Amino acid sequence: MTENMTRVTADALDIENLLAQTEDPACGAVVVFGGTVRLDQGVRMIDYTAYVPLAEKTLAEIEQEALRRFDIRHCRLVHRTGLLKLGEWSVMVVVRAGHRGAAFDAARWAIDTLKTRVPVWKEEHFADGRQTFVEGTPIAKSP
Amino acid sequence: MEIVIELYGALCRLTGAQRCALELPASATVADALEALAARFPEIAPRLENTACAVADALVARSAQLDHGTTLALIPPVSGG
Repeated sequence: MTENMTRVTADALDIENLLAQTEDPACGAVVVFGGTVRLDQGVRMIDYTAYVPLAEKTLAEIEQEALRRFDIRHCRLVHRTGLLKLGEWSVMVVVRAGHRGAAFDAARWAIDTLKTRVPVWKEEHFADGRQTFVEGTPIAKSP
Repeated sequence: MEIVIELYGALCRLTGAQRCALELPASATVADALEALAARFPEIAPRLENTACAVADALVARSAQLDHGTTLALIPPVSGG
């Protein structure tokens, strides 16, 4: 079911859609993590860009890896691209599990892993007109 | 042969180019392409060490051989989230 879903999008992220996709009566816990554009040292907007073919594949791989590593039943990751204003959601993680412990652990692992593996870049736009790419994490050079 | 390089993140901003074509000898590798790119854009040469490379949805090693017409994506350190 999850293989043909879009995980990188220029559209506003839709939490209701993610919750509907993962609805499951066997789950007693649902954890949602969202990343939003933060007012920080003059940042007014962040422009997110992605290398979409690999970003889509890597997000799907992280979802599958989360399902193997943790006692959870669903994991969904979506990332937005484009110029986002303060408060707008850039990323969403939804995890459903039988119990809350695994759901919290998996959601934390998924966002931490996303930040080091998925080819997405943020360029901060400041109130004074400056624009700077955030120094990131190198991903593995070889397969 | 000719390949196309796609530049992302700071590499795109520093070179002012999203894409560029490179003329390379037949049987050139990813490493050869990066060397040619560094010669054309010396301003990004120090950053290429930390840059991964991909063809379509797969990462490729520096030693991988390129084919004519390949599009090679350059992936500097990532900062999503």
